[in-house]
Amino acid sequence: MIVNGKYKVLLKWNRQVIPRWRDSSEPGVMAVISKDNEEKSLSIYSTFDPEEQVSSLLKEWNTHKTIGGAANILNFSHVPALLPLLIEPAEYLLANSDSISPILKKFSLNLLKTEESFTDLVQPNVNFSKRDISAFQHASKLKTYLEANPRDVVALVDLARVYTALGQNEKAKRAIQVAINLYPNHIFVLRSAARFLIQNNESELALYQINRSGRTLHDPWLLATKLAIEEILGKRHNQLGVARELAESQKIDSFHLSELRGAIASIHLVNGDIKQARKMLNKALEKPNDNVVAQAMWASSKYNISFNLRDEWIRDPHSSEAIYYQHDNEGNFSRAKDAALKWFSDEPFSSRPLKAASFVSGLLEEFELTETYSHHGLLLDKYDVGLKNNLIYALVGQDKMDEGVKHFQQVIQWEKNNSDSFGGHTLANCGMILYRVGYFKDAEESYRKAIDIFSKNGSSESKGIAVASMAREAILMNTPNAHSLLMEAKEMVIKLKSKAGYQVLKSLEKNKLENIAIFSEKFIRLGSDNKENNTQIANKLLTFKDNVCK
Amino acid sequence: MSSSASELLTGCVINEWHVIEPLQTFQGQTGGVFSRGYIVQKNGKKAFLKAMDLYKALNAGLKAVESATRQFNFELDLQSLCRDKRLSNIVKLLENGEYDVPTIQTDDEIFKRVYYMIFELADGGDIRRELSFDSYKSDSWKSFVLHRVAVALTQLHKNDIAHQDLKPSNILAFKNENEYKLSDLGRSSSKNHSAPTDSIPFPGDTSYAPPEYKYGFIPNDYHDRRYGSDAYLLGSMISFLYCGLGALSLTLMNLPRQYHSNASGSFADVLPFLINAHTKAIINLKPNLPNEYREELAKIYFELCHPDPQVRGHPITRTLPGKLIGLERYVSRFDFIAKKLKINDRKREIQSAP
Repeated sequence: MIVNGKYKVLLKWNRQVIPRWRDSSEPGVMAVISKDNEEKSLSIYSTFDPEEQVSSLLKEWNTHKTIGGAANILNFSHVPALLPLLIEPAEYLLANSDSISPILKKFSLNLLKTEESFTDLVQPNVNFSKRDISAFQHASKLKTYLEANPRDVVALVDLARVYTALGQNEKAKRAIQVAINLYPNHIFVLRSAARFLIQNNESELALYQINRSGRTLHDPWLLATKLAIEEILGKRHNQLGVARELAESQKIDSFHLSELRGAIASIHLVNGDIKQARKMLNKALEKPNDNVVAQAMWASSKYNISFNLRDEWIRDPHSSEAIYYQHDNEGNFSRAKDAALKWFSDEPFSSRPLKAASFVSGLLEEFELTETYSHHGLLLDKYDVGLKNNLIYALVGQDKMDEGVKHFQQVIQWEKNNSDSFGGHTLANCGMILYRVGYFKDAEESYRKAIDIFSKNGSSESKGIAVASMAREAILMNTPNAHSLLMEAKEMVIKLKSKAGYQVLKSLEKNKLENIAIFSEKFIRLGSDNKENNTQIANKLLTFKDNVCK
Repeated sequence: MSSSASELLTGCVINEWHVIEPLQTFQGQTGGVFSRGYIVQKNGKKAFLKAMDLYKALNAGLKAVESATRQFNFELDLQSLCRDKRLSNIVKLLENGEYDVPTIQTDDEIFKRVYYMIFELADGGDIRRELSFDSYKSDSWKSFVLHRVAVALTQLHKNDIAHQDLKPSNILAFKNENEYKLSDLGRSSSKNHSAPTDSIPFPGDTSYAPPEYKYGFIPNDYHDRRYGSDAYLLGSMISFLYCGLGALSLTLMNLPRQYHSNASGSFADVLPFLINAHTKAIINLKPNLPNEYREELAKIYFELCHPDPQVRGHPITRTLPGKLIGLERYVSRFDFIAKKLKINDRKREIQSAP
């Protein structure tokens, strides 16, 4: 059985406070722009009394009602307090809707509706076929904007985001490059570009762009991004002193300092200074954004740092990543899956939410879903070993052995090319396949090697899953030592307090004995029918296993 | 005294002008000055009289008196200049002077004195009356109006005056002359005349204001600030005439709520989002523009109403030394479009004739 995503999600996944990248229409995009011009703000309304103006126009219009007069009055709609006064002319225009322009009709309708009609929230959409269609439609709309105005930098950045979500990173990069050339100091452009370039494995270029902006050293949001990228690249933080000073500023609202404080906390975590990290993280949580809350939840599970979770953080519609960590930590995997999918709706260009979703759906033995999530995640990050292992697990779980083995061989190649060492979940997958083709001893050996790796890494959750999975496979294949492995797994899972391991065992107990018997019978019959094929599969894996386990 | 002198002019004869009736709809509250509008007649010719007295200003204090006097004199100076320079598309000042209302029983002249200006009367009212969206025939009329307004603005600009308050109610129809003229110079800005509103970044009607003022940004350059605002207002009349909404409304309609307020960030931070909304506005507007000149009018609108005051205007003149707005270039284009559309109207009329 695979020890899928968990290892990747909670251990190797060294989360940094890299910027969120949202569509420009999403609420909260503007929130990251620090107030720096309050003293310069000037209301143009100071010399006017717009209410008096509208009242006078209404009085005039009431004596002689015309469409032009009503339309003229609607132009005051940008003053919210005046909206009640505009109802009558809007209704008049709608009553004459055959004689007005479609846009004036739409405007009047919007005016008579509630405020929500103006907001343009992106609804979560996890239907992948529909998602792609809507992404292409969105891209087409954005291209229309760019045809009308090639210098529309917001459309360029939004288009890059859609391209990234569709896995078209080259096109996305071109759009981002144009955007950054047009507005090299704009915070939305810079943070979006940084996020894209990190996603596209070009963190060096991301850092270059951030460093190039004269705004970075004065803007806490950009400085946080700079620190996060330097951390990803393992670089020295030359401006850490400046960042610390800015993070302590009393003049800047805590919200605007939250990511910077979160980024400094991450540096302390990596340096092993848990005390300082906790202190800075608590400061970051004074007034956090969703990114910092997710960072805190992640740090909480990895470094066991406790803090008080506030309800309002979780109620934030953008807090799905944090909610995922929360449910995952609590062992509520069904809810964790929902949260991961919402997270993916928020970050459709990122493979991480899908890695998380495929991991929890794997634990829940929803193999078809695991396959779908892994497959789509690999479209976004085609060399992600964790996602590939989750895909293999899903395929083998559905008896798609040949396909599973084909992907498994690719994983071995990737891992060999990268470091010539193999991850625990690759070995666990090897064990799962070998169990299914009837090579029980080799399968157990492969699993035990995986467990050993997890023990050395200190990943108790992954170890718990591996032990429980090995027992599960043994039970399913009705091996002679199946029950002793199950006892061993139960003891180990309790000892490790592994919620994910417990979930594997719970799934096993949920399947009634007769179902397991039917499964075993079916599988063994299939195995005997495909004896030759099974031998071929085993031969492909045994060399690998022997090399790793010796 | 229950009424001030300027409210008691009906029936009076001022320099042979018979005051017939007050204009109920006249917007007389400008710059803190209380003024009233009347229809007057002389030798069978009707005109419009704008009357101001200092009664209410006196009650408000010395500053109000100063402000009222400055405002009246400023407007009078500009209108006199426009008349003397024969600016054909600015509503003409016929006469001006002082008049003591005889029905007010007081020895104190200040209370019965009215200061007045008499203008030619627009027999067709303003363009709001004529505006409709249900017939292709109005397309040529709309382009004609745009041309005349553009001519009016360039006439003013050549005399160092920026109108600052171009809006539908200030575009008056002179049916007999088949002409449209610009009225109300009360909020104008002049390089040669000190205006009471000079300290106000945008003294015009806020419902049509360029977006930078909504975000508290004041362009440093005089051209960008004053003539640039006029360019924006002219572009705004394209969208108003063809779809019923000014450029500011159209842009804000396409701008997500979070960018509506100037609560965070600077104008430079909001600008890309405003440009994005402006781009969307163009796409919304296009279907409402006359088919034959849709692209060109959309381009003109895009340039005139660009949210960036430094870019606003004709792209060629903007790159030349002095970075002028280049409004005169649009005059010829509006003229061409209006004439072509008029020809098309005639062709249609001939084709549909039995």
